[in-house]
Amino acid sequence: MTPAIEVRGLSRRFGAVRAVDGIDLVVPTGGVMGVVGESGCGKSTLARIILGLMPPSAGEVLVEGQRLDSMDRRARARLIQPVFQDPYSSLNPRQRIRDIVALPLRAQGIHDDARVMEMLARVGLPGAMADRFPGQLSGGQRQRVAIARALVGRPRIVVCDEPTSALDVSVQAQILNLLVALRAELGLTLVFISHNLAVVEHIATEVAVMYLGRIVEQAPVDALFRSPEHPYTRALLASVLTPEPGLGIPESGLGDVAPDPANIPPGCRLHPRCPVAEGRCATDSPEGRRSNGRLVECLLAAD
Amino acid sequence: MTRHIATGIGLFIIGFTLLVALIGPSLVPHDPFTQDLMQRLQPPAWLGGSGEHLFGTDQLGRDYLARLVYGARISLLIGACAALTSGVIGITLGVLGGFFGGRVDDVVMFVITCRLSIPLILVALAIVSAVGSSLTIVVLTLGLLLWDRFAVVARTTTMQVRNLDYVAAAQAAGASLWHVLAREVVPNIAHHLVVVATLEVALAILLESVLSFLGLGVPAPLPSWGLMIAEGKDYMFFEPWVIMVPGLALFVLVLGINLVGDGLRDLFGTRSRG
Amino acid sequence: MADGLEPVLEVEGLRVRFGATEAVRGAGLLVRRGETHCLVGESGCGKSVTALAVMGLLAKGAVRTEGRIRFQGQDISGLGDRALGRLRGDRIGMIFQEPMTSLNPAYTIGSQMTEVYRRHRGGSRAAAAERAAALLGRVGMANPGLRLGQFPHQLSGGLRQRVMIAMALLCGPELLIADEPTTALDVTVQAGILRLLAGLQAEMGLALLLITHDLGVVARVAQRVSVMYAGQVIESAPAGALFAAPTHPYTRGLLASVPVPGRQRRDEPLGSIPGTVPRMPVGFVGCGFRDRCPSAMPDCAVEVPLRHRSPDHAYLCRLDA
Repeated sequence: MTPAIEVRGLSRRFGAVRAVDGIDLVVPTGGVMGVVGESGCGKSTLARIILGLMPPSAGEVLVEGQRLDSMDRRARARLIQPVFQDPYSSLNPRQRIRDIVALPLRAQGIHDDARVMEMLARVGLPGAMADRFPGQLSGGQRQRVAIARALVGRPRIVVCDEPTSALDVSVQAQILNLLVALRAELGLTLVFISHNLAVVEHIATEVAVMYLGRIVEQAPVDALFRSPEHPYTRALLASVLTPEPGLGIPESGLGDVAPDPANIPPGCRLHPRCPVAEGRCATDSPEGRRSNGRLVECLLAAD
Repeated sequence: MTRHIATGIGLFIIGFTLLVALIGPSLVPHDPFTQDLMQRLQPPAWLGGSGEHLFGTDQLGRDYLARLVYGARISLLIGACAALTSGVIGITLGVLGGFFGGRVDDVVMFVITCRLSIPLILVALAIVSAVGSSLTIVVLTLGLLLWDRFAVVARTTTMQVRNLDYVAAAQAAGASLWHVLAREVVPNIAHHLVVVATLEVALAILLESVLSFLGLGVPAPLPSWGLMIAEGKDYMFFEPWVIMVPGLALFVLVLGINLVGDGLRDLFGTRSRG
Repeated sequence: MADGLEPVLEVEGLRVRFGATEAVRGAGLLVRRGETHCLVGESGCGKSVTALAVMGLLAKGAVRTEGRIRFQGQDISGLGDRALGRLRGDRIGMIFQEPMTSLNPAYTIGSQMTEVYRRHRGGSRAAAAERAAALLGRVGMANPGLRLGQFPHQLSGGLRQRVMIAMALLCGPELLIADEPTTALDVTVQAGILRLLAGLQAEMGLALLLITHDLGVVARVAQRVSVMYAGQVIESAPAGALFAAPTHPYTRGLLASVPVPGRQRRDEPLGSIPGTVPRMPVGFVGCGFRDRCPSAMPDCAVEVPLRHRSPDHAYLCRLDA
């Protein structure tokens, strides 16, 4: 079956900054691909490229088998839609909710108010909200509007870039539940980008871990969380602060050197911070090793 | 509180001037163009003159009140039209440069820099020498030379808005470039531009009076306030009202526009921060 | 054990009003020497406003209408801005969420730190610089001399937060108030900062009031927890007790909303609390949570008693534990 998204050798530079530095990724249709990483890892840049909002410096993106750069804006919009992080800047403050949600339809030349109202109801918003402005809605309500807008045109793929990170915990749970339900109902493929591992574990079927522009590990979700292989993945998982008292403050094991995409270390990019780095890690770049549907990019794991 | 009073005063001044410009000419008893050399340089009523010419007469015996009132019309018309022209040019350039960045922006910045290096008076002089002077030419000259503030503000605000997620969402939704610029970007920078527009109107009015004073603006016998000042400068010491009346009128009008502009900036400033 | 350790900060019956809304409606808490007390809640619950009220840093338009605040046994509720200014930065340190906006980008780290120190302790610039370098070393920064000469933008988020902590501790305060100190940081950096705070606390006998919305942070660092909702502390308990036996329906709802890897099944929805946090108008009577509570009763609109599950575990609810 053609995968929903296929990314090959993708790179994106901004001057000296190598935001995305050679990524290969396959998102199977119907799956939820979690992409995790910290600041500077390039996950948001990756999201923008996949959405067609930014051209890559190198490499290509295939959506349902077609090259993204060969599609016109309308064809692309019919296939893939975003939900962004900040509910306060993702809705045009000068437009009514009705018009915001209708935009993907209008861009295709469709005028169907009934579909807009139906979508609003589907995301749990009362019809009366259609004529309000975003400034009158709460963060959680705005994110529902963003989801309605993303889904009104019946896309096949939705790229969610930290969709719940700016929301309160109780609202976050509401939105996650909504996303899970809608995905099942509409048969969507999701790309779910987040720095919150607990959330990703709950919603994803497969997870890719990014560090300084590359995918350092990729595996089905349970396998990744139960037996992470890359030192960075292990550090990330160890750093998660679960609400379980008595366990104390975890030790990530990573040094304090902040990752800087403008200054990517030679050899393995994690080596200055890696707790198990060896001499050769400073000079040799690891290559991705695939086995059993897992990918790891580490010199030590290759042994 | 003082800001509200100031804005209120500004609005009153503009409103009054607008009223005067619209219906004034039909209310004053005299015609601004009729010359009466027997009545030349009559002082205004409060300086001892007869009530026949309330604001006195100028050196050609034309009723000053009538000229003032008619001049209001000219000032406001030129101010508005010049601001409109410069607005269209400046906003287009600024939005395009701010939105596309890269080379497009480099070109826009270059054009702005060129424009800023052009000496207004010399260019006006050149134009007038070439094609003579009329109301239209003044409007066009000002419109073509006053757009830089529009462009700079439009460019900066567009750059801020351009990175917001709702613009990205509109692009992802498949909206056309026209839609993104006209429906997503411009409505969200409009409030800044309105403030610039009021200030540009004031500037255009002032500049028109300067040009007219230099003989490069509105041609005589049209009663532009600047031209009235120019024509009256020879009588400055013994018949001071000849330049004081139009001078004061100019000052009050420009002050009023600037006060309203300030008020608008405060109004929109707080809203956009909220 | 916190028993017997003297209270450093005591807040009782705090009420703060913004125009027609009451942001804090009778909140109270107690932080002891050497103790980390977490004040936890979602946006709009009033936790940050409570901290600002304690420090006398409320914005214009916000008024503390009631409440008693005692610092080291001394009533500071009535102190003017001048007197509070002497306490702030000296006896009470405060760190905020966004180190980029808390540090002035136009001045070097060194000049900002020495300015703070000299304002409270006087002395020469050299002595202040020495103290600043010592603190930077204390918060785990290598090469403090170099850092003193750098500007905020030259440091990463984690390092800037360490600078904030160093600045807050320059004069050796008794109380440190930290408002979301790790929220803006990457998760691998977060643990380091929290461990630093815990270490400094043990070393200096600091009382730490840590404000956060992150229950994971609370679980790992708190000795005592106060949960805020709609301007009130609706539950307060030792950390272990709160997580083992959450009593107030809001606390329970909140804990159920947090996904924990490996804990819940993927095909089951996360627990969530329907609706949104309300704004409380002045004069609101009864329980602020009743419109969202699964167990609300008619009497909840009238009066909410303060009840105890155990001597040190209190909650504001009619329901039995």
